[in-house]
Formats: sequence, structure tokens, C-alpha cells
Amino acid sequence: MMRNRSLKLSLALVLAVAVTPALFAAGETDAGMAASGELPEVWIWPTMALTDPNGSNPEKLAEMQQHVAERVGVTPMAYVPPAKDSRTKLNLVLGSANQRLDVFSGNWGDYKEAVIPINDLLDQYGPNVKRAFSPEQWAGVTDSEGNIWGIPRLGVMGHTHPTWFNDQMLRDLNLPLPQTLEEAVATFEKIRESIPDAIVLVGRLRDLRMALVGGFTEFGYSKWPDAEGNLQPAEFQPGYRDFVATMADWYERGWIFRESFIQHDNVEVLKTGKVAIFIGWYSQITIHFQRVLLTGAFPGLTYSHPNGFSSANGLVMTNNASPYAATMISKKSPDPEAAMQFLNWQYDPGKDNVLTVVYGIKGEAWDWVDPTEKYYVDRFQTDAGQIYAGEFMIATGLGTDTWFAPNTEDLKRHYEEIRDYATNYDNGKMPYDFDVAYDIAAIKDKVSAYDDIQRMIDEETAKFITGTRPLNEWDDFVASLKKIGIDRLYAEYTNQYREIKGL
Amino acid sequence: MADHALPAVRTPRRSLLNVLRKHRLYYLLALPGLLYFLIFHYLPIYGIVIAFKDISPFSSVADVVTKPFVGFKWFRQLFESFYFWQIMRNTVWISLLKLVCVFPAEIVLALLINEVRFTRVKRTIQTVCYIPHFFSMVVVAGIVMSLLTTEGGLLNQLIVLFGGEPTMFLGDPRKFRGVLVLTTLWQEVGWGTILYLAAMSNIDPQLYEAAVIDGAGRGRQAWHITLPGITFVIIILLIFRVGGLLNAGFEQILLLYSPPVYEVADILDTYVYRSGILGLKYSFAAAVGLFKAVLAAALLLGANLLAKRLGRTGIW
Repeated sequence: MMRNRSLKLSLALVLAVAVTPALFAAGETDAGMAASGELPEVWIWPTMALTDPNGSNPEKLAEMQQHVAERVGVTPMAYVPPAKDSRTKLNLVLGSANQRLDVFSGNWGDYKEAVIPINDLLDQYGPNVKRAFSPEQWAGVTDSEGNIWGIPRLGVMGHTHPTWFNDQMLRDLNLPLPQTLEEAVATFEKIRESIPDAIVLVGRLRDLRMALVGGFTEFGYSKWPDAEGNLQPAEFQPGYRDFVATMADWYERGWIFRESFIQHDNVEVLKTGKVAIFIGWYSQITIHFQRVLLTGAFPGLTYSHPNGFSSANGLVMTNNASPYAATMISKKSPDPEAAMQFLNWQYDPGKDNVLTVVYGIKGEAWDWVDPTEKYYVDRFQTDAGQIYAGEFMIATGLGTDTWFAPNTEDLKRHYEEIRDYATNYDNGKMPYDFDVAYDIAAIKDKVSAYDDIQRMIDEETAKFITGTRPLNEWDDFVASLKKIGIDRLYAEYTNQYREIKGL
Repeated sequence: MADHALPAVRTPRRSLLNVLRKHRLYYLLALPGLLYFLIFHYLPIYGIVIAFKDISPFSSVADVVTKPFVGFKWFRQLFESFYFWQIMRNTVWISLLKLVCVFPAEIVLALLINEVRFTRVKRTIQTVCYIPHFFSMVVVAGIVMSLLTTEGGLLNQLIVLFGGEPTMFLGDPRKFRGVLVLTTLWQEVGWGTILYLAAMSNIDPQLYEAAVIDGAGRGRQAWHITLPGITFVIIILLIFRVGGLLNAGFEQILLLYSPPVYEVADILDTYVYRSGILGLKYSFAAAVGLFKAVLAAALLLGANLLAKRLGRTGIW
């Protein structure tokens, strides 16, 4: 009897354990998806880093929902993306049968199956959105049939990979900020000679290519046309081998940081305070290292870059074409019109709306430092857990990034850099195909060696520069690339280029 | 004539239904577990079909059923890769190196810990040895990079102190695999002793007493009593390790490798991560996963069979 009772008790316990999580899960889903009124909802996967990593204070979030609802006639709803592996979670939501998502960001080439073309929506509901971008930027999100797959986020950017010089070291050595590659080389030599423990130059392979290949080639780090008009890889460009040979020479002299091509954290290296020249994505200096400097760790240390940095071959830097980054409307959206109306409201050229979705209600959470200039912004609410954190901001990218700057030392410089240089293309060579967005999925389908080719280029170039492979084997490297199908790959690029350009 | 035959004893019919009814509470108790395995381990096997179709991350469940078969397209893509054989060689070679270095080390460490007589010291040693197992691989990779960097890394500082040149361990194809093996050894050797220590605690103490009377020292006791006493655990764990030969340590390699060492470090999992997962080619990733699973099953069965042929205990 006793045994039977224990057994029943155990059974009840096991069933309770099995069923309880399911009940809680159901509760979570209901709460997460709760409707909030009669207005159409627009569900957002935020792209911008939230101003409070833990998300908004619930009351402030509800206040913002109400604010938007009264002005746009939609109720914004937002997911809080996980800190880790956000893209995988986004894909799961997009693939889910019962989780709604209307607006998100990513590479439109990857998401064509999951989104809708927005040509008609733009015409009907998106005049502000259309106005916010140049024709070149729109070209980057348009396929060969004229379908617009998203709202551009970056498009072509100037000055993403400037060459930053340590002002303090230049001052100590009484050297001017170099304006040419030749002057820069003389500066490297002087620094090496005068400051033996300095790390002369830090830069990953991709960064060095974007920052310096223009100094050796006609088209910079870009596809280029041969005599027949067929596209060729940057690595086959006349002068590219000289670039690799020069990098190998710099590496051998100990100018390039030894661990540039293996796993390392650029900001950690910068934190040694010994880096003389830094080449990398601009925000590593304007945001990440700026925050280190604000701790007072290196009094007097700043980094500056020359504008129009050039060599005998012309401009040294290559402008960065990122045509695929876009904000898209999901195929599952039951009300894409509402989504576009919300986007259009954010892109209002009066600029107040975008600041509202970033920081909260104007006057309470933020205001312009100078209402006539409308550029610098003062925030009034910054306490973690007490603020609206920016979940509804979807007008990210160059369309709005040049409109304002937070009036704080940790971010001001970054936004000023974007304003001054991101859409100024005079400081770098324009990639030959900057306004063409290839259908990479279609290319990969036809050329299965696509990833092998990328790997071979990165791996072997790093070996040539670090001296693991002698440069006299360059022709063998080119032959290997041809053997695994680089010609086929570029024939596909050429076909698409001609189709998109109508040639 | 009297019927002297004994009446047949009527045994109750033990039909399945009766058995179920009689032990219904036990079966109900097992039901959640059975459902768990059915729902989370057996039903998903249907997902294998993704490897033979062209499924994107955004395809619905209905698409998995209705989309047309593409045959062995994704398998061909894997086998035709320029780097396929290099990747296979790296996968197996790195796994074998770890097996050869880490597996015996666990046994030796377990034997050493078993010889410690002071319980508190023994427990402390065990705890210290287990701790690295609980470190996230991201943390371990960070520690490794800090130790090995040429810019102030402890190891390179020691090398310089003794008159050597700083060495780029993580960028040198000749040294990279050594870093992987040593990192795994440090992180897993302690954790790997648990089962051996448990098996050693089951060995009859009278055997040791008898050996002492016969004049056997500690070494002889370990060799002739302890080791034979845990042979069955060694064999079973070895069979499992052989079955996992194609898992060469995805996270560890992903966090530590870079283009200069691809030729010795790129394994099946990192290749799939770059080509399949990042490229959103989920069918390709599923095909490679299936290929790995088939090979792993063959290795497991082969090792099990070999163990039995050698007169040892298999896993079933």
C-alpha cells in the first residue's frame, strides 16, 4: 500500500515537472505576442545597439508605443535580440510559422526568399525614404529586373579604412602628418628607428587591402575590366603583386604587427598605447578606442588620418561598396503598408522622428543643442532600467546617421566622422562595380567552388606577406586559382554585371 | 479407470495488455521519458531529408515535405571541394592526436589521484583538475591568446628571457596543432578521470591486501590490480572516443584558427560553418552532418566489433 502510494506520488511529480515548462512557455508566448489595441502592429527586429542593453523600461516602452500610435497610426512592437548569435535567432523567427516579424535588417541577397520587393510601397507610402538615399545607393538594393529588395543601409561609403597616425608619436618626433604613401614609409622608418618598442602598423589583411591597394593599382581593391571588358579579380590587377611584395617587405622589417593575420583583438593591441599607425574599420578608433581614451589611460594620445592620402598611382584608399546591407519587409508581414508608413515617418527630413525612436519623446528624453542647427543632441534620460532604449529604431544607416550627433564625448567624434567623410567619395578610389549588386546566391549555385576560392585568396595572400610562402610562387598561386575555377566565377560576375548595366 | 493425470495448473495469461495494466504506474512513470526520446530524438530524424532538398532557413515545415529532391547535389559539392581531402585529413589527424595524448593522460592522472591517501588532498586535487572543464571555450581561447601572444604573452616573455625569439604559435602551421592538443589536455584531462576513479572505487580492497602480503609495491598494485580492474571502462570510453573521431573540436578551432593555419586546422565543422551556416546553405550543412553521422556510426560499430573480437566488453 505504502509502495503504491509512493509510486503515485512519484508519477504525479514527474508529470508535474514535464507539464510545468510547457504551461510557462505558453504563457510567455501569449504575453510576448499580446495585441495592444486596434491599430495594425509592426513587429521589428532591432538593428541598432540599444542605449540600454537590457532593453526599455516597460512603462517608457508603452509610452513610446502610444506616442507612435497617435502619430503614425501603427503600434510598434519589438523583439529584444539576444546578445549572442542574433542572426540565427532572426532566421528562426523568419522561418517560424507563428511568430510575426515585419521589418528587419540584413544582406538582402541572403534574404530574397523571405522578403518582398518594395517598389510599390515606396511609391505609395515612402516619399521620405526615397528622398533619404542617392540613386547609387538605391542601385545597390535593386536587382537586374528592377525589383527593390530593401532600404539601403550603407551603399557606398568613403573613408571606412583610413590610415590613422598616432599624433603623440608624430609630435615627439617632430614629424608632420604624412599625406602620401612615400611620406608614410619614411615615417614608419623614423618611428621604428626612434621608438624601438613601438608597434609600427596594425592592420588585418582586408583592412590593408582596402586602405592601401589603391597606391599600387589603377582600380584599388576592386573587380576591374580587362581589354575585352570582362571582369577580373583584384588579385590579377597589374600592380597587385607589388602591393603584396611591399606588405611582405614591411612585415619582414617588423613594421606590420606580427599577429595581424591571426586571431587578435585590435582594440586590445591599441590599449598597449604603443601603436603608431592603425589601419582598420574607422569605428574602432572613433568609438572603441575613443572610449579607452576617455578613461584617461593615455593622456594626450589621439589618432588622426590624412584626407586624400595618395601615391604616384593616385588615391591609396578604396571606397567601400556595401550594396547588400538593407532594411527589409518580411514576406510574412500581414500589413506591409503599415510597416512602410512607420519607416517613412522615421525618415522625416525634419529629423525629430528618428531621434524620437532612438532616444524617446522629444523634450523629455532629448532635445537639440541648437534648434536652428539641429545637429548635436542632448539626452536628459540615461539611467539604465529607467529609459526607452531605442527598440523601434529601424531607419539605421547612412540615410540618417549623417543627420545628428549625440553631444557626448564618447560618441560625438564617431558621428562627426560619418558626417564629414562617409558620403564624401573624393578620398578613395571608387570600386569599378560600386553600383552593381550581384546575386551572390545565384553565383554560388553555379560556381560551387566560391568559398574555396575565397579561402585560397585569403590563406595564400597571408602566407605571401608573412613569408611562409615565397613570392616567386605568385604565378603558381594564380594558376591554382584558375584551376579551382576563378575564371568561371568571374565569367558569372561579368554576365550579371552586363545584365544589370544593360550592356 | 481413474484419471490420475494431474490437473493442469492454470497460469494467468501474461498478455501485453495484462502486463501493461498490472504495471501501469511504472509505465506511466516511464512515459514522459519515452515521449522525450520520441519527440526530440526520433521524430527529428525526418530532418535528414533536408540534405537531399534545397531548403533555406526561411522555408516552412511544409516546404521540407513538398520541395523537390535534388539528389546528392550537396554531397557532390562537399566531395568535389578542392579542400575536401585536406579537411578530412585535418579532422581525423587532430582527433587522433587528441586521442593519443589526452586519453592515456586521463588514465595516468586517475591512477595518480587514486594513490593519494589523504582524502582532503585528494579532493582538492580533483577539484582543481575539474575546474578548467567548466570554462567556456571563449574564455579558454582568450587565455590561450593572452599566454601566446608575441606582444607581452607570458610564454613568449619566458622564451625571450632565455635568449630565444618570440614565436607566433597561433600563426605557425607547425605549432598550431600542438596548441590545440595542449589546450584540450589542460581543459579535459581532469574531467576525464571521473569515470576511472569511480571504477577504481569498486575494486575489491582484499585484492590490494593480498598483493601487499605477497610483497607488491604501489606500482605493482596499480599495474596488476587497478588497471585490469578498470579495463572495461577504458574499452567502453575508447569505443566512444573512436565514434567521435570526426568531432575534432569545432569551437576551439573556430576561436583560435586563422587563414595562415587553415592548411592544418580547417576541419569539417569549420568548413561547414563558413560555407553552410554563414552562407545560409542549410541543406549543405545537413548533408555534411549526415555524412559525419554515417562515418561516426561506422567507426563506433567497427570499434565495438574489434573490442569484442579481442575478447573485451563492448558497449552492447
